[in-house]
Amino acid sequence: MNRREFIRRSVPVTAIPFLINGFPIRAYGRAPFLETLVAAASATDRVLVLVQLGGGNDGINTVIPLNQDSVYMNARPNIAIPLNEVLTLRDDIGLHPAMTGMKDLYDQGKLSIVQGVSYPNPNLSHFRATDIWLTGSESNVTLSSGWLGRHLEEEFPKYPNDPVMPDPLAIQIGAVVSFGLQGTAQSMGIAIQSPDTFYQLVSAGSSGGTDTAPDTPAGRELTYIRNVSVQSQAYAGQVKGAADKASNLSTLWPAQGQNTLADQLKIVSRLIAGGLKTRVYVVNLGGFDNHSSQVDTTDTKIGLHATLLGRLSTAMMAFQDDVRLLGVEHRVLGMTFSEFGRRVQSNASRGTDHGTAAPMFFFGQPVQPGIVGSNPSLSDLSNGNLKMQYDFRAIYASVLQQWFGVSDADLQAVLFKNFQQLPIIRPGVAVSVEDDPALPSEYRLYANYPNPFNPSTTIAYELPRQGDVSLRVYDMMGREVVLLVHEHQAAGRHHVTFHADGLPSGTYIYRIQAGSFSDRKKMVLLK
Amino acid sequence: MKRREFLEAVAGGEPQHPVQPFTDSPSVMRSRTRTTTGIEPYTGGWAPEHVAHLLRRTMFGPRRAEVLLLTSGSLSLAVDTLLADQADPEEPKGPGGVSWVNATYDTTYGQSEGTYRNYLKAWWLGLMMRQGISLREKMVLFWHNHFANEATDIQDARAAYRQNTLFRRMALGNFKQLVKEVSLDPAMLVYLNGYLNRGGGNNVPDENYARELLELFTIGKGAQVAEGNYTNYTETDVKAAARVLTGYRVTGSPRDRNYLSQPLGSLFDPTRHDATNKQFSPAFQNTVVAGKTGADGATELDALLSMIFAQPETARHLCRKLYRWFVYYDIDEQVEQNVIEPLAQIMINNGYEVKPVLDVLLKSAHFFDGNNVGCFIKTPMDLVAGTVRQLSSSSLQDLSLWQNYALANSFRATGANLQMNLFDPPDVAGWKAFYQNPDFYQSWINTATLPSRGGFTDSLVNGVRAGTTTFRIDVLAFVKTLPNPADPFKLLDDLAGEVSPIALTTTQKDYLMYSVLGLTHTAEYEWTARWNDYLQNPTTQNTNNVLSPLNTLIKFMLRLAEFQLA
Repeated sequence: MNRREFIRRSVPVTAIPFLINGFPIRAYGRAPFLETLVAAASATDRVLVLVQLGGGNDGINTVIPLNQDSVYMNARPNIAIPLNEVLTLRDDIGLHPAMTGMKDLYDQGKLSIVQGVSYPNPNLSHFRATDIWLTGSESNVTLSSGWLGRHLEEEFPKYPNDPVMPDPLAIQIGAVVSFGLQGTAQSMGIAIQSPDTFYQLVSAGSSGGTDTAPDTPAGRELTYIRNVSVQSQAYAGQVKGAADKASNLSTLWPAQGQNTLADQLKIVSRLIAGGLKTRVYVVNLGGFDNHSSQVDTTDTKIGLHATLLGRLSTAMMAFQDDVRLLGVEHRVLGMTFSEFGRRVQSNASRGTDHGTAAPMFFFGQPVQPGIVGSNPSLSDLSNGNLKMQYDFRAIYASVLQQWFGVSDADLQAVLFKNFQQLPIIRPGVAVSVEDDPALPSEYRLYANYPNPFNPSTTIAYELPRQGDVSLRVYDMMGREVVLLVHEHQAAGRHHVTFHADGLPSGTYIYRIQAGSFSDRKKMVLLK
Repeated sequence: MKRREFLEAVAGGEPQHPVQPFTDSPSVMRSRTRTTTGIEPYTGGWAPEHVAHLLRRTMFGPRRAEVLLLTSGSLSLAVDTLLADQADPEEPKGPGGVSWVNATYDTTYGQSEGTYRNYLKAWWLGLMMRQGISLREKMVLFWHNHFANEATDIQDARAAYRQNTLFRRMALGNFKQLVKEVSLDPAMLVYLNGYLNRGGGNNVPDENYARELLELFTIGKGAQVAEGNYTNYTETDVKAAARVLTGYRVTGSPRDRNYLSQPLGSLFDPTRHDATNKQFSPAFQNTVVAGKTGADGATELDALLSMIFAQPETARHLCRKLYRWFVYYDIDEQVEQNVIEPLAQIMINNGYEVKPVLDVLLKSAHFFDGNNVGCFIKTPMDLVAGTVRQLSSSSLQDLSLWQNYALANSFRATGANLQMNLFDPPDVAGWKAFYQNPDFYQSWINTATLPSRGGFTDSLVNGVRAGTTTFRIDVLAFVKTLPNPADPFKLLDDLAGEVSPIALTTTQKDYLMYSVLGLTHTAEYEWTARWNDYLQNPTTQNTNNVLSPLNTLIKFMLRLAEFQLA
């Protein structure tokens, strides 16, 4: 249990003995102090809006470099945007002419750009690349949980039964929940298409099914469906209530049905303003896989890509205007991403094939305005593709830490290793996080890495003081598989490698005992 | 303050450390070995429950009468029936019965194309609802999911129909031949830009089709072991395959105006073909596909496919997809060894014929393994077409369902709302339920779609208004097909068997009996009297006395989580 969870669960201040993680807590002696902490925690009710640009956005024609004119024109003669039409942000950088709304946001200091985002050994498959972005994995590691799912799970381990979080933790506008919201045991998000139909359909229903499901694959699927049913019923009223409390105020919203992204963001802004405590919203704009006819035959400023960027820009502008008018602007951060950028050289069908690095946008009043990174070089390439400047997980780490106040230790659990912090959030807005002292201040067992693994994985833990330590691995039947550590160890950070050769695929539990501290975590061996 | 100090401060002492029980969770269960059975022939019982399992997986909404019919035969006979050849269906017509599938592309067609596309979608849904005992339509859907093309992108209903017809003709045919025909299929050439892929001179090939051919349609992507190396193929192979595939054009399509006056089809244009040699990576034993000039350039496709189909991984990839389509998504080591590998061998030994593979799979001990029963989450088509079919006691032909476009279109829209828009899968990888780890089938069910599934089944009982007609399940006729609807205990048992592939518990049945059907404990046979009154004297009052509670009961049971399983 981490500090925040402890605080959250302590809210109903009471003298009745109860258990926390099996620890009996006898009484609260310092309620006023607790209340201070609770207040501090709830003051950080911040929202992240994730905009997924599906299909692989052509970053080079989105954030256009103005310092490599001839290389740009030669590499993509049939799709190049006339450079004098580019919306200039700086002498050397401009936006696609269709992005007037985002240009305004940039001028208002509410838009920032991170250049050249990718990861080592990029994968050019839409599906694998999307999974990599959503799970936050290395390109050669397959994870079955999403980066935001892991973060939310860390923050709200009791979800969906957390007494102080009656609202959904994450909402996907649409009918398919993003893989990015998948936790290790369940999805941490729910999907809604519109608050009203959601409520009507759910409240018309009944759940049935109260017995324990059989321990078979069918029982597993049954349990899943029943859980969704329970969740729908639990959240329908909350979502409807929030939606009913607020109306969209901006006059910049396009008419319903004209701009799918705007229609989704309209719901998001209503739910935030209506008081829903939901942390993450995910919306989508697809269609960026422009292998052909990316631009019009006669005018490269218009065409498929221009239409999409225009929608993105209009929707973002209207959303920002709406949250400002609704008075929640300071709580909302937006971020765009796409599974990859596109090849520098255009193809013969007036389109672009799959590429690698691309820019990401951040929008909202809390952003640190400006441009992080330099223009990508269009001539110094790797297999015809742009070179990476920043790992996307450094962006995730920066958002989690600066926006959600996630500590270094928790970042490790979510992203599995350390990444640099980039200036995403304005100083003064960013949450300050305690520095890691030289010696650990508390006992801690980290998530193993990699996970799932085959055949070996590393388990790290920290000891604030010297003492006897044991670390054992169990199988799911509770049988001890191996005793990895059993000795007196010094204070500090330790790690041990678990070799699973000869063991069957499956979930294993590792449990540490150090002094009076114990903790356990799961790991998955996948052969 | 640190967590530990904090704990000590509030707890006032060292906390206790009770032994923590290990709890199981769905994600944990997922990793457990499930079965040990393989493709050896199934030799167990042959009762309605076994037949129902076979038909739920191979058809849309099997009816009770069909289950009983096949129970009277044998497993072998049942599978032979499912795999038997079927007559071609009637072509889809447009409004007023107008024929459009062979229309030439002109303004008249162009203006109605969108309408025809919706008629086409409703037509296919109609084929599913009106199917006989046959595997064919499920296999057509399988291939549509495997070679996923979006008709909305292609914007030519004729091309979508032609591709659908290809899938139906080759439903149980030869996989390699199918891949060849798909490569030349106008819809595919448009969808993945094959018709724009030109080589030679300074032309940069369009890699779209080549990539998906390798990644999704044939050998499948393996683990990424180095930059640009996905084990089974590399980025070099994508580029080389793209060059092999240069030069194809579509005819009779507004996409390629040079050939607009010809019938819809495709051709090979040597002037757009890259005639140089294509060097493949060690993943393909460093094969060189020799560049050919002139019309011979088209034979490079055969060489490319021969190279891909010489890799056993191509057979394994398709067998895994078939497995996830018919059995379960969880392919663990045992399944890989006992099922996938031997099936792939059968496929290779039979020159990539699909029918022998399905024949073995559907007759196998593994298919009928108790662990594989009821674990399939119904696709939206299983739910929409299947529920309508299953609960309509008579042939839907009589309802003129298909002729009634408004109704079929309403069911189509429901399927789309539940995230299975026929002819418009989400993208080229098909529906996530069949590939997205770890969710797989569960991706069909979330807080948006589950309530909508309930709303749909409610509407079948309440009445679906479409145009001037209202469609509703004839609940009384359906209940009369059960062996003993007068006995409330037997009624519930039989209905439970209809809606759930796994047994309902006593608690559930009690709830149905006393809370939903509203009978009184120890006075359950009051139902018998009511039912008999209705049969002997079906006055409005007597009819309502049984119909009203039955409507409630059926709606409730169709909202059981169990009903989502197949």
